[in-house]
Amino acid sequence: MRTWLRKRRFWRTLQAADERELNASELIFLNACRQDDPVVAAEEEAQQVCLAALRACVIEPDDDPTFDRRLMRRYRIERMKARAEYWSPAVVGAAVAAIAVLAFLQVLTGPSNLRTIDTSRSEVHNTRPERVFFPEFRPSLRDDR
Amino acid sequence: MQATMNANTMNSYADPHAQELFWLQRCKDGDEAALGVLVARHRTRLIRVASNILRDTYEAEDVAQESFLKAFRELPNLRDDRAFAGYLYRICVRLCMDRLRVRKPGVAEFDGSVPHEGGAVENRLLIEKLLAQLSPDLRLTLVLREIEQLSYEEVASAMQVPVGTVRSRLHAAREKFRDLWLNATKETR
Repeated sequence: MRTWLRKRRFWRTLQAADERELNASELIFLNACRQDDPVVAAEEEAQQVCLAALRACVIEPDDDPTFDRRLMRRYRIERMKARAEYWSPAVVGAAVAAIAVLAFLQVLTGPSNLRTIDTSRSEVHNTRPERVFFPEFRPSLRDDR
Repeated sequence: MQATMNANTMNSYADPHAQELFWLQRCKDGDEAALGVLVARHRTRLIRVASNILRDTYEAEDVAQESFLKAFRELPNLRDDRAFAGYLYRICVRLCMDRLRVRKPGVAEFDGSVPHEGGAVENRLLIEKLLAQLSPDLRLTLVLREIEQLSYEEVASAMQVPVGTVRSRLHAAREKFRDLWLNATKETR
């Protein structure tokens, strides 16, 4: 338990060196840990090696001359889309209103005989044909005699 | 003509900070030439940080473009124009983090039969494999601190977490990275 706590303190102190300068007692503690525990010393060395390897693996990308052009094209497309999205409700609303007005005008100014035709049709459907009787052709019993 | 005049006016600004503010104002007014100037200023740094986090130059360029587009979209809402560079950097880091989270975690594929010689190319491949095995949070913290050489406060600002979280993540990331490294290179030791 004591060793574990000591090891933990060792790594914490080592990390503190990132942010500030260590004082004399901290440096003595680190050195004592290294001497007392060879495993800690080996781990510290391994950490230094692997972090140095990591730092050496920095990527320095080449300057792509088409980057700006591609970006500006994407920017313009995005702006156009944004504008279309912004105005589309207004355009749809205006179109619906225009269709409604046109339909209304059509009804108002349309030919008046349409109504007559419709009315007569409805009358045709609603009335039954009248029966026509011809009295002179009505058969009579007297003729049979 | 207008852009040339503006460029001439800009020469009178010795302070690069004042220049940045000037171009930002032009951008807000819808000047595309000003956008180009800002892109040219921040492009290299943004692609570099994204490349080092993602370890893929093509994806890094895509992320850098997305960062610029997002920043330009939000430009009218930016309260403090002086914070534009940091704001852009934060967007880029966040987008990289999103990409890392979507990726599947790396699987250890160390060939024990081939000893690690420690050559530059071999080291690079090994480092990329090891980084792929770290969680996105740990990986990002480690890269920003060790490769980008940012201070703890700068890492905290870029990742939008408290400095204490950066400390503990960095501690965990170094420990994990060291263990992976020891495990990968134990054949040669």
